[in-house]
Amino acid sequence: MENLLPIFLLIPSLGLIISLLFPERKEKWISTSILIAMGSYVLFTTTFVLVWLWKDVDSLNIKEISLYDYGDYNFFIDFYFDKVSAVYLLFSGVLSYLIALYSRVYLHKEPGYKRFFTTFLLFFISIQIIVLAGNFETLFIGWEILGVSSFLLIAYYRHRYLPVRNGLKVFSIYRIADVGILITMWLSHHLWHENITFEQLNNSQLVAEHLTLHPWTGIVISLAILLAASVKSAQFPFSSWLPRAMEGPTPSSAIFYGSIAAHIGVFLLLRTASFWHQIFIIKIIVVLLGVITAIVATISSQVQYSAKAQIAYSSIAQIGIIFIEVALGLEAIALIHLVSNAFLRSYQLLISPSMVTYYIREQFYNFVPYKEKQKSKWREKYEVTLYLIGLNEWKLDPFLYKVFWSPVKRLGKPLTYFQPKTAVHVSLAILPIPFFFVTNLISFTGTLHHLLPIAIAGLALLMVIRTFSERKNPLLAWAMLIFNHVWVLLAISFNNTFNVWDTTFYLSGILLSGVFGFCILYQLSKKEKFDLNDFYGLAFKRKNTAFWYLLCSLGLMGFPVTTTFLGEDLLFMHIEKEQLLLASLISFNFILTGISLMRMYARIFMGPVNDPEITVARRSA
Amino acid sequence: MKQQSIDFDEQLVLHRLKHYLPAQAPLKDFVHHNTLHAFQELSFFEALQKANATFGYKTALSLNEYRKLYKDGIINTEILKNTIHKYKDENTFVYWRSLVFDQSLSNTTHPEIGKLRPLWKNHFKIDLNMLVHPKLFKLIGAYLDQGVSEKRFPYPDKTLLDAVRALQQNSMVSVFRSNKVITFLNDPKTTITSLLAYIVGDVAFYEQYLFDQQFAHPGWSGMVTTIEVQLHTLLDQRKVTLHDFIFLELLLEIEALDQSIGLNKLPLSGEIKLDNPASLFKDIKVDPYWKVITIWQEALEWSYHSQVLQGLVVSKTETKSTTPSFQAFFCIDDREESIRRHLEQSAPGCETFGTPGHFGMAAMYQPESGKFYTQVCPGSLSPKHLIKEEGRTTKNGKDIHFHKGSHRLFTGWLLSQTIGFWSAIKLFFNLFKPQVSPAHSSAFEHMEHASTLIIENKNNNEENGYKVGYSIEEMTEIVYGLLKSTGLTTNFASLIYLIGHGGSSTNNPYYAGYNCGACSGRAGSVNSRAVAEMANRKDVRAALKNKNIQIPETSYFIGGLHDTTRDEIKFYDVESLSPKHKEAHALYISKFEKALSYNAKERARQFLLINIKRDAVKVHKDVKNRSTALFEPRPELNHSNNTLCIVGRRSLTKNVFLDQRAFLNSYDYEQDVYGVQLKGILQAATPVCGGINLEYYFSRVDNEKLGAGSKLPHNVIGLFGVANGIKGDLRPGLPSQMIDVHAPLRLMMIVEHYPEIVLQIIKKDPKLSEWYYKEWVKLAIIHPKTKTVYYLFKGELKKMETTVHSIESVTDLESIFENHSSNLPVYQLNTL
Repeated sequence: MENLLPIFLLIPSLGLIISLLFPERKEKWISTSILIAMGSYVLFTTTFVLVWLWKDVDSLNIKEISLYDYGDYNFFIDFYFDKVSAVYLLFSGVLSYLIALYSRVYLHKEPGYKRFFTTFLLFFISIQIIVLAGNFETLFIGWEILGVSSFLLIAYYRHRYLPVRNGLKVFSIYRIADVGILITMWLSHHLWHENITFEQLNNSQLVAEHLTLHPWTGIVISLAILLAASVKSAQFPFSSWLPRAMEGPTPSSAIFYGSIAAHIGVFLLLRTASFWHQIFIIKIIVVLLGVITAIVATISSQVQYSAKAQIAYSSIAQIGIIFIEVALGLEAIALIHLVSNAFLRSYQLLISPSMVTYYIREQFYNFVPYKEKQKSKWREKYEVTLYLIGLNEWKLDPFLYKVFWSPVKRLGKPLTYFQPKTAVHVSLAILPIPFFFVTNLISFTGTLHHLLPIAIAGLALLMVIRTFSERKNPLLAWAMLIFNHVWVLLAISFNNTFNVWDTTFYLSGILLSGVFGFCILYQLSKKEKFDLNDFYGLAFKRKNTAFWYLLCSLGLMGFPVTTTFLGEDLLFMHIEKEQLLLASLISFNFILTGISLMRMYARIFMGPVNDPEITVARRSA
Repeated sequence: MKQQSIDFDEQLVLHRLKHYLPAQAPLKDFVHHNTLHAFQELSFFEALQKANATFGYKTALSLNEYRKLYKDGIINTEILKNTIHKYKDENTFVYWRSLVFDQSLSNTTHPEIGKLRPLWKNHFKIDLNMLVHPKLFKLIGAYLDQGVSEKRFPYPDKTLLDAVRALQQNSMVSVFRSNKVITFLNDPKTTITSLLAYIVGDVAFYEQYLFDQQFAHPGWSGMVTTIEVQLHTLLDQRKVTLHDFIFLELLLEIEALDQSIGLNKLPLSGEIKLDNPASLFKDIKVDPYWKVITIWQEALEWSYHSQVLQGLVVSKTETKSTTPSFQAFFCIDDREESIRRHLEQSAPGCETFGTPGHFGMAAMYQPESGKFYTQVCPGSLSPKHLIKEEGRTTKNGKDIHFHKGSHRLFTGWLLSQTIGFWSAIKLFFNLFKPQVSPAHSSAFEHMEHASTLIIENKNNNEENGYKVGYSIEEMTEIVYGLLKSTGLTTNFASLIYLIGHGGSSTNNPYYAGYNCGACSGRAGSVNSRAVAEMANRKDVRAALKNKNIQIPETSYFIGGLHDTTRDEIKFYDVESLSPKHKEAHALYISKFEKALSYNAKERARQFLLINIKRDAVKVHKDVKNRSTALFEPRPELNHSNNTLCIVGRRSLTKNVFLDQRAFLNSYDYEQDVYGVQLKGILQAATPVCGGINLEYYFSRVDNEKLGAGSKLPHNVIGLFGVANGIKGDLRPGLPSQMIDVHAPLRLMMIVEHYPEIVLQIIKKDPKLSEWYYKEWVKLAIIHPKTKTVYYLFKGELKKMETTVHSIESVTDLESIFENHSSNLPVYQLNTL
């Protein structure tokens, strides 16, 4: 039966490919092919689950393909199916099918009809990968696709300013979650000395053994998992992204941000529960996090004057409670709660335009005029304070900005004085090459051995930060992002022996997408005027260029379109588990590289179109 | 160059701002109006250019769009040639023709408003809008909120500024942190002027600064202005003024500046050398680009209008002298043009009339147990009477999904553990079998079918300054006005229907815009029913007799309501009909039913997702489903493509196919030689129809700045407006789904009367002259005797001579509907 697992991915993927064959104006064909795919998906899933229940309720696991095998490192795709997967597959399938049906008419004549359904399916596939993943590596593939397709859905109205800005915001926050997974993979590898599968995690004896040997590693892994889960499920203090994600067409907000995407953090917790449940302190932390989130989000929800923000915060509050249920080991209750909450919030979002009719009618017949009540000074103070705190959404949005962005900006500012000429470019690129030989010839020892990788990684990080303050020259920024990878590689080479295959894996993807992307940008700069200081909306006229450039950007950021994706993971394996500083420098580098690339894409291809013939919305709209 | 010192008149500038800001009321009171009402003292084409140069609105189609229309044959070659001739100056025809067709002209003007704002970004590297807007929108949104949030704003009875002061004072987390701002806030001497002096410095820039600032978020500013003027438009009232709103924004700016660049950089004029202040609203010279646009737009309009005029003139209808089987009054609304056509086809012996849908009754209305009054006549009138409903039997439906408990912690936990599965089932059923739910806004809920209305005033009963019901004399006036203005003064049928209209939709914040414009965005049921009852009264009829209108005792008026979305009609008070009338009514109902199905089929030709090549009844069923489907953003197409208003006898239009593009007002010039009634008709119809037409025009040509953009991502804000996402500006205007099939043609008012009479009426009324002489609405007059057509062009009456088109004559419209989804030409209809 486990051999059937890939079909869960195959069906939507086929639907995606078929729908891509039709041109934009063939609305009916596009939607029909997707509906057929989703319909057969629901049928297949239901049958599969029923048969599985009837036969036995044992979990299924299948090791699909091994992508890279060297020493004790084995990167393989693995699928796993159990009760939790069954619930997620069923509810996400049913809901997606209903929403696809809904959107078929709702989006009629909307420019970008095809783009919507393509991204919709991409998103759905990413959820399937996550839910079926049998190990962290497989899960990470889905995790990355989820981030990018989220960005594309939020910024669906790509020529308005706010959707693009909010899309970038959510993407940036998602990157933090990605690092959670990267660190989890890195430390798990050191903990187990192999690429552990989720099935093995269920072996409580095995887990307990390793945990007693390395208690701190276990705690850090659990915290990294919790970080990833709470970012994706908009838990405290990451709550503010969810209401801001409500920029796309209402059905996409309903399904993704009202339900499936917001509940994927819970999935991660459930999937790894057998691991972190063994650490008591983590359970307490999860409960606390849930309690805080539930209270904080409820206070925000009750004073929101816009329909979607209100529903988003109510949903977050309930997910907080679900976190508690998971921590307490009430798996069945958590699953029921999760599915019900997901359906409820989706539906509430879908019917949110009806609020005007409904509440105005209610107000018309039942209005009670305001009467000032006698309140004690303290009561008034308490109520007003709570009101303002809720209205300000606990200032979580500016808080995140301050914590994550302001340092980058502050560091970036002085770096703008560094304005290298082309010659310097070239030397920057070539500079690391001799060092690679050096690493092979001389082996450093002692302090130098520890400091050198950190220094080089720091330098690489500075280069990435520099790209944020680059306002004029996109080509320069792009080039720096390519070289950055070379420097990261160098840092690792100094740290640990890195074999030729590892290097090839890592660099081939970078070079391919880097060079190709550079050519696209160069060609484009001959035809159009653009820089990084403003938005240019070039995708309006150059849809295809935008697509290929996006693909290159994804390649360059280690997205699973090239081998670099594997390389990133490999890179981490060469960092010892004591080297937290180096690991964080490099993870930070990866986060920022991704954000920088998306920011470039957004500025060049998205945002308001600069053409007097085309009407554009105001920035504030 | 030295700046000359000018005084800054705060009141004057506030007044000017209010004049230019969007004037759209909260959603529940959505009524169409001219989007560029502020420019109405200019002529139409001057206004297009000036609005573009001042605010950067795109006020016409682009050259490429016009050229494409020409290529597609929508713009007629002959007419384009004539138009170039009409508009060319000392340059030759060939010169202008090459401009029109070939040259790549572009509009290079940079809007005056919005030039100052970028200084913050360019000079100080801060995005002041992004720093201020979220906080500003949050405060004003929370303050105005009508009931989205569960907790009411703490100080709803205070003015905006006092409320902010109270928040600042009583809360432990402050609104403002900057000491400077707190001083300003609490100092009673602070004014907008003193705040501007602090931020801007140079008085010459104050006005420009304020315009820049407010037009960075015209949606919110416009909403504040509208609520300030129409206090009652919010049910839960707020004392908000534009003054307070600007005051607050200036404070927030200082706060943001304090936290970013520091206050020692202020004022602006001290830090940066500013250019000369932009002269807002300066006079402009017509440049070739706009002249070419004028030519194209005129040619586009004439390509259709001349067909219509020609069709009206050649159309022949034999006048029957027999008494019609029944008579039916409909609203002048363009959506009723087709139902009248279909009704006349299914019941050839009937006669139909068009008149504004409030049927001459200017009243307020209160449904039973309603806590408020709603106006059920045009917004420009101020009613003195109140109609009350009695005996309502049903309660409003509830839906647990709207229950506020789902947003609380524990009830939310209970609900989200349980009803989610029910939500999925509901969604499933709505997708496959849409049904009426509490989320649905029905035309028929305005007044309950089984209820009764208090129409007669007894004992001079008054309520809150309104007279409850009408006296006999007042009723007589209303009925007289209705009959006299439409020309129905003799030859009454035994059943006379008065049919109001309204729309039904689900999941649609714009539901009010689907209703009757003459009833201020409500359904017309109260009016049709009340006026029918008035006309049935013996005392009223006796009084009418004295005014030379004799309604036979056997004639009976029936009120009704046409749901234009679902194509359904309900009739009121038919229980009291005599058996003979009942029998006749039953027969006519079947005629109405048939007409409704065919009407639905005609409308469905533009709904691309419905298979129209089927029996009308089947298509009608699909059309009905659209109105209850959650996922249907276009339950109907409203006034799309409206471009005509015809005031004249039905014989003029009866055999001309007008494609639901015409407002039809029945009027018989023979009974109104001096134009007394005509004056009233023009005064009522011009602003209503012109307003609808121009709102459609501007929302269509600039859907992003003058329209609301796509409604798919809209988020309901405070129950009064919509925005994109959670922190965007409000979006006034029409969403793209309401205008995407609209052809942006101005309205042409066509009057059947003697030209001198019509012109006299228009010239004497300054408002009417503005509409017509400034060409916001075009005017054509059909001489009733000679059938000569005159039209108003640049202030002069001209005779239309050339006949360009051959009007095709058709018998089978149905097959045309089945095969065409785009706009159709004018046809001559053959009656079988």
